[in-house]
Amino acid sequence: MGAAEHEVEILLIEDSPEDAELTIRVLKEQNLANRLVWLKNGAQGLDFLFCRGAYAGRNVVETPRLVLLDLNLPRIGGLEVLRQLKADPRTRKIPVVVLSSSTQDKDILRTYDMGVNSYVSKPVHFEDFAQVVTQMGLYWMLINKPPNES
Amino acid sequence: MIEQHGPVAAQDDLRQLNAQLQKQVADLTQQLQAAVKDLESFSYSVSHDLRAPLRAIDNFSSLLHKEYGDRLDAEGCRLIAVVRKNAVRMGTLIQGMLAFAHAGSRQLVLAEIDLEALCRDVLEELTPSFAGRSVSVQLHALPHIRADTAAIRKVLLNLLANAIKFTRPRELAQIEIHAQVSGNESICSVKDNGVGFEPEYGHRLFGIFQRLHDAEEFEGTGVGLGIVKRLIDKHGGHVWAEGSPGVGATFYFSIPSASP
Repeated sequence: MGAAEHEVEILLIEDSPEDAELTIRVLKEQNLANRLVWLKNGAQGLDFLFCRGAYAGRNVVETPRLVLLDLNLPRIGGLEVLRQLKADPRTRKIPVVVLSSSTQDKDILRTYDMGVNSYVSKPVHFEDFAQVVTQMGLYWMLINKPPNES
Repeated sequence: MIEQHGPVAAQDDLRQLNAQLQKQVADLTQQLQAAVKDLESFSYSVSHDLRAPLRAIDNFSSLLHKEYGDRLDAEGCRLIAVVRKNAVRMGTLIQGMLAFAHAGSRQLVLAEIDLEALCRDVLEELTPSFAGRSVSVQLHALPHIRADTAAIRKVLLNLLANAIKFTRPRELAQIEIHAQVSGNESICSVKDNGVGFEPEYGHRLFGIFQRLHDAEEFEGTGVGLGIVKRLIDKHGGHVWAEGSPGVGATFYFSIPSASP
């Protein structure tokens, strides 16, 4: 596998410190969080992906293997991050999983219209949350085959 | 002059009145649309904004128990269990609120429904919920009605689930489903020999979050009958109930034969 090419394996864009801690904790238990970067809003997320501002030194082709995206983010929302990410040929192929509290049909529809790779609704209760994040992490990091790796 | 002037002035008055009325209707419509929008954003905020802190409470109290439980005494563990139990309960309430909001916002799609087939289908779905119990369900010949299939399915599901739940103390639970066409409406009833209710509290049955029984005795959030009423109201029908404590309850709903 070409995992070594990826400086950052998972980019987590999530404004709630509690949700981020829980997500990272569950991924850690599966050994999936060794190279995870957590950013708290959409603007930072876009800066990271397109190597601007604080991340000007990064190389845009070093894409994360997976983006975990919350929708309800301060300043630049998750939908806008998704739109820009899927509009640019350099970042278009990165699998994006939306992790959201919303189970509203219109939110789900909109993200699929924008090319999201998966939509996961964050369960409220502990066992369900741990199970969902574990399955999602294992699937996208171990089972799914991305296009740029042989 | 007067004969000529009169009708013209009256016509002017009428025109003016008409314009005023049209403006009033337009204003009211706008207010209503704003209110509906407010409600929609309220239900969104319930689903998102309330669930996020609840997830933190549920998850972090579970982590506390999982990782520090062996260092807490029995009372410490009991206190955490109380927090967790109530987090679960709040999750169920939010879920109920969303289901109630959803029942109100969905557009009805009217079609011909075979009530009897729908009842059998719903009963089949409910079968696991009374495994190991003696439950006799009597399904009388039911008519076809014109209504929204998903809505009527939900109505039957909630009424039958209630009948099954509140007959739990009975050695033999007896449930009867009746329907008849009377005048320009169809009336369907679900009768049980369960614990029943005090008739003077009957009006509270269909209110949202209203419960007539202790949570320890019968689980539930008090949303089911609220949803039943909302769905039947949308069809232009009515809901009502008869019951007496210790004997049983009968729930009725009517659906107009001609679409509303």
